[in-house]
Order: sequence, then C-alpha cells, then structure tokens
Amino acid sequence: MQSLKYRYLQVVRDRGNMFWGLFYPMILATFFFIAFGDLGKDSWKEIPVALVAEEVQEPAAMFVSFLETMDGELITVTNMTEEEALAALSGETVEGIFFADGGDGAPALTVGKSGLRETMLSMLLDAYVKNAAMYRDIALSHPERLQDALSVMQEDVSHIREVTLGGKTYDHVLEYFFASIAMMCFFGCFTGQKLGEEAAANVSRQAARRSISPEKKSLAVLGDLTVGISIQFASALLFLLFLQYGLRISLGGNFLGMALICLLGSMVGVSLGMVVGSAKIKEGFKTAILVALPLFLCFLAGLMFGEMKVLIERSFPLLNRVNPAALISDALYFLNVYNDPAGFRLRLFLLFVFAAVMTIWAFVSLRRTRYDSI
Amino acid sequence: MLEIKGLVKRYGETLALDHLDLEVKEGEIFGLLGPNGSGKTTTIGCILALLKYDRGEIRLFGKEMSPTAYDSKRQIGVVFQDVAVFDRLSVFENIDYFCGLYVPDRAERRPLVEEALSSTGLNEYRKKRPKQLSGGLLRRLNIACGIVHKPKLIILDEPTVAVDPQSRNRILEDIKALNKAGSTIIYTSHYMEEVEQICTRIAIIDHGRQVACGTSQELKEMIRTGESVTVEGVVLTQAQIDEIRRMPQIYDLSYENEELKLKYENSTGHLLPLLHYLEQEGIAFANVFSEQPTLNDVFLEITGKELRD
Amino acid sequence: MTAFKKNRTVFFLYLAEIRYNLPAMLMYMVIFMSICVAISRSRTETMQEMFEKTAVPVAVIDRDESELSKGLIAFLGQENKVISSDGEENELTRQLYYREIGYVLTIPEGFGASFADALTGEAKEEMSLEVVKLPDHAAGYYLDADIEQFLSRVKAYLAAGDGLEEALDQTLALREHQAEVRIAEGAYAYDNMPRFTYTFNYYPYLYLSVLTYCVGFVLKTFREKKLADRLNASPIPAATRNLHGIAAFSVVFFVFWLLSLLIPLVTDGTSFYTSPHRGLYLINTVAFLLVAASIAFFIGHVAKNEIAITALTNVVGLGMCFLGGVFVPLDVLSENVQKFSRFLPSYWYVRVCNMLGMRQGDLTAADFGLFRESMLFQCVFAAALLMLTLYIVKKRSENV
Repeated sequence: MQSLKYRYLQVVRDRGNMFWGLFYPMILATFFFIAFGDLGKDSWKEIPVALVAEEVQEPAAMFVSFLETMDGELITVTNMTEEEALAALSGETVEGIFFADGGDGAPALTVGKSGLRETMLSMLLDAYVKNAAMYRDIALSHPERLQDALSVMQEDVSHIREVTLGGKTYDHVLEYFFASIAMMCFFGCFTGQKLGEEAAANVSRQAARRSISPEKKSLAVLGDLTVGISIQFASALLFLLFLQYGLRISLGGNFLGMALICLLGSMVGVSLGMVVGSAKIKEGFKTAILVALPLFLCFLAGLMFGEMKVLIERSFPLLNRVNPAALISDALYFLNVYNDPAGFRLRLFLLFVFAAVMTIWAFVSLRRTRYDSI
Repeated sequence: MLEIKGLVKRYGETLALDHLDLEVKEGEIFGLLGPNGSGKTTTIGCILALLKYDRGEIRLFGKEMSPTAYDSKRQIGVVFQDVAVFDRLSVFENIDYFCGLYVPDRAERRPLVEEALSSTGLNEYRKKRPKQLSGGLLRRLNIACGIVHKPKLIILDEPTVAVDPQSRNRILEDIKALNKAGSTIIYTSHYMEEVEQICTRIAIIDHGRQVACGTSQELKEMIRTGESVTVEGVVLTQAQIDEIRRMPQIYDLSYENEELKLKYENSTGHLLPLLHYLEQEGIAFANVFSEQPTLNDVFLEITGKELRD
Repeated sequence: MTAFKKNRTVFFLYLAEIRYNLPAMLMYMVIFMSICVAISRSRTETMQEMFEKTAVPVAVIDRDESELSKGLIAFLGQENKVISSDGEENELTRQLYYREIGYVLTIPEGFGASFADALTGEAKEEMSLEVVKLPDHAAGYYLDADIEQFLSRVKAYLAAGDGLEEALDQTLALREHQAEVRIAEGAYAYDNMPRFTYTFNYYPYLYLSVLTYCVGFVLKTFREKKLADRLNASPIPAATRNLHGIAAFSVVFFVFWLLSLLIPLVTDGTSFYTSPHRGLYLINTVAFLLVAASIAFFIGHVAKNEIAITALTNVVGLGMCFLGGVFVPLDVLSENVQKFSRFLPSYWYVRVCNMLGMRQGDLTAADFGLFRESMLFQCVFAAALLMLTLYIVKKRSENV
C-alpha cells in the first residue's frame, strides 16, 4: 500500500507531465473553439463589389436600385467603369463585378475565383433574377395584387429549424473536440513510459532495485498501471469539465458515457506507454514512437481533416475498428450525435477489448523478473 | 551462506561466466576481485535472480535462489554501482519506500529508517531531493536504501568508483561496522587496496572463472614473488650487477636508467643485506624502498595481466 | 565566420548527435510525409465542397404528403438528388456517417395546412421544417436558403391570387431564369487548381512538425547539465556554438527539403515538375522552411523536456495550420479569426500557394506583389524569431 502511495507521489510530482497532460488538450480545444466556434454563424463581413452601370435603362435600372437597397447589408457597392472594375477585381479590392446590363438587359456577375463569398454573390444575383421574373409574371396576371406579393416577400419568416437526428441540439464543432479528447487520452503514454521504465530491471537501475526486493512483481506492475490510469483518467475528467463549463460546449448530457470512454482511452494510452517504456530501445526512439504513433492514429481518426475517417470507412473499415483513436472518436460521436445506442455499444466494446489487450500486454511484458542481460 | 557451483552464462556468443564456483561463509566480508569485464557484475546479477544463466546452481541460505524466493530476497540488501534512487522522492521518502518493500509494517519500519538516516549521516538532508545532493551524499543515500532493512547479506557492487577519498574511507568503515553488527558482506571491486583492507576472504576472478581464493595472506603465499626492492639513482657496473644477482632468493633483477629492481622469493628480510652490500662497495644511491607483494602481483602472476587497465 | 572556420568541433558534435538520432528523425519524416500525401490525395475534391454550391443528396421524410410538400420535393429534385426516407434513425445515421446523404429534411404533418393558414392570417403559428445538416459543408446552408426562397415565392404567388397548384408550377418554372455568372479571364479558380497545389498547402504542417521534433530531441541532449557545463566552460562562446548547431541542422533540413519535393511525385505524378510556376512554389517552400526552422529552434531551446516539446509542437503546428488556412480554407473561418491569421506565416504561405494554383494565365503585377509581400513576411518572421532564440540562449548561458 505504501509503495502505491509513493508511486502516486512520483507521478504527480512530475510537474512537466502533469501540467502539459492537463493543459495541452485544453489549449488545443480552445484553439478549435476560437477557430470554429463561429462557423455557420452569420457574421459575414460585407462583400465589396463593383457596379458597372453606365447609361442604363429599364429593366437594368431596377437592378441598380435593388443593389442600392442591399448596399450596407450583405455588400458594399462602388460604381466603376468596366476597366476600373476589372482592375479592382484583379487587385482583390472588390470580390465581384455586377453588370447592370450584361447583355439583353439582364444583369450579370463576374467574379475572380470560386469561393464562399463569390458563391454568396451569385446566389444574390440568382435570387434577384428569379424574383424579378416572378414579379413580371404577377404583374402580367394579377397586377392589382402585386403589392401583396411584394409585402409577403419582405416578410422575414424562417421555416427551417435545425435539429439532430433524434432531436438533440448539435454543435458541429464537436467533431474536432472528439479527436482532441482522443489525443488527450494518448498523452497518458508519457506517464506510462516513465512507469514502464521504472518497472523494467533491464532498463533502469531503480527497477532493478525493485525487482530484487520481495515485492511481488505482478502486484508491483498492477500497482503502476493503476497509478497511471487513475491519474490520466482524472485529467480526462477535468478536461471534460473544462469543455462543458469552460468553453460551454454542449456535450449532450452524456457525461457518464463520455467518462467511460475516457477511462478506456486512458487505459490504452498508459499501457501503450508502459509497453514502449519497458522496451530495450534507444530513448530517442521511444519518444519518437510515443509522439508520432498517436498523432498518426489521430490523423487516421480525423483530427486534421474529418473526411479521413470516412474515407477509411469506405475503403478499409477494419482499420477504423482497430484504430483506438477512431474507436474513441466514433464512440463519442455515436454517443452524442447519432442517436444510436447499438453503434455506441459496439464501439465501446471494441474499445474495451483494445484497452484490455494493451493492458494485458503491458502487464505481461513487465512481469518478467529474469532477463538475459541487464 | 552462499554457494555457487558451475555457473555458466553467455551473452550471445560471449561467455561471461565459465563454470564459476564460489562459496561465501556466514559472517565474513567476502571480496570479489577482478578486472573490468571479468564477470563480477554478471555474477551479482545471477545471485540476485535478475539474470538468467545457462547452467549451474546458486544456493542462498540453503535454498535454491529464484525470482520468487521471497524469503531469501527479504534477507538481501544491494548497493549498485550506479545510484539507484528516485529523483522525485526526497531522501527520507526514498529510504522509506525501499524499506517498505522489505518491511511492510509501518511501526516496524520507522525506527529502521531513522537509524539508516543517522548512520549514513543524512539526517539533516532528509527533505532534500537527490538532485540537490552532492556526489558523496548521493552515494550515501544509495547505500542507505540498500541496507535500511538490516539484511543478513549485503552485496556491494563497486561502491567506491568515482568517490572522493574521504567518502571512500567512510564507506569502508561503514561496511566494517555492518559486518560487526552481523551482516555477511560480498564486496566486488577492481581496487585491490580496498579489498585487501577490509575483506576477510577474497576470490579473484578472470574471464568468468575463479582463479584463486583465500585470505589475503594465503593468496600472496600462492605466488612466487615475495618482497620487491627498488633502488633509484644508483650507478652500477656489470660486475656489481652480477654480484647482486647471486644474492640469495633473488629470482628477478632489472637495471635501467639508474634504477635497480629486485624481486625476492621470500617476503621479508632482504633489504638489510642489500644495503650492507651497497655500503660496502661504496655505491651511492638516491632512494630505496621495499614493497610487499600485492594482490596485483598475485593477479599478474596467475593471469599474466594487470588488475587495473 | 572565422571562428567557425577555425574550430569546427562543435559543428561535428552536432552532426554526430544528429546522426545518432537519425532513425527517430526518419521515422518522423516518413510518418508526417505520409500524412501529407494522404491528406492531399483525398482532400482535392472535398476542399471545394466546403463552400461550393454542389448538388447534395437529400433525404426527405414527408409526413405531410400535401401538395405543398410534394411541390417542395420536386423543387429540391431540380438541383439535387432526392432520396425518400421513412425516417428510420439508424439508417439515416448510417447514410449521414458515410456521406451518402448530406441533408435530411423532415416535413412534419400539417405543414401544408399551417402554411396556407398563415397566409390567410388565421394567426396560427407556422410549423417549421426540420433539417439535419452535415458539418463543414456549406451546401447545407445553401439548401436552407433555397428552401426559404422557394416557400417565400410560393407564398407570393398565393398572395397574388393564384391557387396552390398554379403557385407551385410557377415557382418551379422560375428555374429557367438563371443568374449569369462568369469567372474573369486569367482569374482564379479553385476548380482548376492542380492537385499538387493542395499538396504544397500542407507543407507548413509537415515542416513544422518534423523540424521541431528533430531539433527538439537533439537539443535536449545538449542541454543536459553536464554536457552543457562542459560546453560552457569551453573557449567557444555560446553564440558561436549555436551557429555551429544551426549549420549542422541546416544540412539535415536541406536534405529533408529535397525529400519533401518528392511528395508531389506521389500525389500528382510529374505535372508539378513541368508546371510553369514551379520555381515560385520552390521559393515559397524555402521561405516556410526557414520559418519552421526558426520555430523549431525556439521551441527546442525554450521547452524543458520532451513532453513540453510535444505539447508545444502540436499546439503551434496545429494551431498555426488551422488558423492559417492550411486545413480549412480561410473563407470558412470567421471574421475575427481571419484578422488574426494575417500575423501567421502559414497564412502567407498558403495565400501564395493558392494564388499560384488558381491563376490561370501569367502572373499579374499584383500577384508578384503578393509574392514579394509573402516572402518578406516569412523571412522577417524567421529572422526575428531566430534573433530572439539566440538572445534567450545567450542570457541563459550568462545566468549559470
């Protein structure tokens, strides 16, 4: 018991590890929050456009007045000649040129590239064209009701409500946070590495001292695993709390499920570290493995670019069932977003299997008490 | 107490221990002497059941030694050559932790830890971390961690390498004290002076084999070399050299750069006749000194190599 | 320089240490280059999906089965693929997960009725359509806008006195009227961006990660107290020693840079090597290599242990790449974030890459201006950070 206490002390006193283990994922999550927190929210800057409208007559003039009403809302309009406008487009001072008369009296749009804002400009023009046609129709068939039609169009009613499947609210940003939770679980491998080194007599002298004592090796290793996993799990819980209450990201009220996932993830991370730590390879290489491998696994699970996981799912789905980072990310997804308890349970089970395998591997590789050489 | 018979250990192609036999009796300070690479540390590893070996038998406290011989392990204390303590625990915590592996009961353990702290002079440093200690203090901590539980058998593997003379003497004194208090000591080193100083019995090993064993005196009597006499700053003619060569019990003579070296077969009483002769002949000299045979001589004669590289 | 020439021992010391760490460094390089290849091979198409108005497979659950709902479905079918669904959640989940559909529309029962009622002013609250969208796909938002407009226009026709059937027909017929949109000649076009441009866009992440880890782990050895003391006691001043270190690393970085130029071969065949702007691409990569090197040295000297190095590298690497438009196109990031991005060298690197990739014809004067600005920013950033690092090292060696 007291040896367990001292092992805890040793891990906790490793300030570097403790600090980064906790703060690194928080910093990462905050980054994501800043970068993506405003995604989809309508805070678009006005798009600068040029208007080429020299000596126009109806119906082009109607377009001009339409643009004038939009000026200051979605767009800012500057009148220019065609040459000026093209130059401005090239120099990126405007992002689109509206021609009041692009030929046949109909307006046209010229853009410099295809992009989000350019698409919005084209949608703006499209709306105008269609609405203009509609008003023409109505003016021909029911001219006396034109005003009614106009006032209907001016109403600002929304007919759409965004939901998740199953009706829960869903924050799109969550996907990236799932991957960062996976990264955090893997960070536990550094704690595991230290513990593994201090339990393998052929790696460190301290471990040799422990090995020659009457302390049962298997108990000692079990103790180390417990220490590492519990500390990593505690960090994970703090991180979840940070997400929920610090960044105020809705975790969907499934705290227990997420905690369970974090526990299994911590087991994977710590035992991976212990296995690598107890191996008789160069220190630099050990670190390289523990840094690069989790990163690679997280990449395959969609940390850098969400589509990756989907692509693998389509072409080589077995990988997603075996990659612990993908299992963690998927389990979180299934728990929070897709209302699919069966899918969640499957992922959780696979994760459990993986965690168990890693832990047993760590246990077996460290239980050895006699070596070929130390 | 400890019996090793026919121990064989290979590291791949290299034969580290070649049918090694050793016996350590209770109560003695047993020295294991040999040059670097002779197999001392490997032997220790095998005794402690840390290393696998290919053939042979190790019996400790009358029982076969194995990794699960917990009762035997409880009686052993080890001080490795490298400092083996935890950086993130204080001096007190380190000693307490390692003691706890042997003595689980807190009440029993506390006085042991306190005694270890005071006997190694670490009491005022109990709250410090290993990084804050000087080299000598660190070594003392290393020792404290190994002996705190008052084991019956203490193994020290080259404990004085890279240690200043003061600390070294202190360590040697401590070992003697431990022995007096009832522990059997196995002491490995390649420093023959220390081994000679404190060990009651010595085994010399080379290339994984025991080449000689006995007390210091017994070992020296094994070899031909007795006393050696060196005369510096002396000018001799060939005739004089021949005359000296004919003196009794001289079995080796060399004269170079005004330095005369003589080796006698017997260990005592050769200096006076020589001085007498020099005086008689009126031969002047700058310095003369006589040396008793050392373990190095023993080693040299038996193996043809020096102990220290 | 003369000090360097006179005594190159430290230089070779660094090289030896690098050589010792070579297997680990190679491992990093291989892993990160594979990530780079994987991303750029698959990202090409999906990049455009982020903002383009592409056709989206839509699953529709029609619980209303009114004339209006059928009309809405017909409207959606004009530009998108419509799949009718019974609303079974697991199936929808699966389809969304596999991106077989990108949008789920549920038309609740009574929607048509409430729509008509609202028009006649019977003061009932209008029912809402329920929509599930995929994240990071602007197409969903465009669809929202389309649906809203459709409904508004139907209402307008109804207000003008048409019956529902006629209103729907008229609204659907509006499809004939399309906006005329052109892309200026010689202008940018994402569609025509060569694949290797996407590859190059990921280099900031590749360079930052590999260089920082390599430098960090080698420098750690040199900072170990005993070795550091010994070096500090030598007659070679700290600044010179660091220059030696930098020189040694430059060798490694140069080799790595050459290796990285092979990646386009894997992702896009030989088209890069024969493209007209390849020289400018290369210069751009060299500029960012300098940036990455300066960051690597900074972190290598500032971080106290391996964990700190890992954490800082990931944070800086991922952060700079996300916010600089490497993983996510800049357009998609919010206003405030974009303001901040301008201070990141990765932003400038990506802008040049995109400019080179999208420019159809020859580069304009404005393009060259952007190029110069970008190079200037990256080089100044690298130089400034390097100065800072050397200063920190000097101060540190003085405060022993």
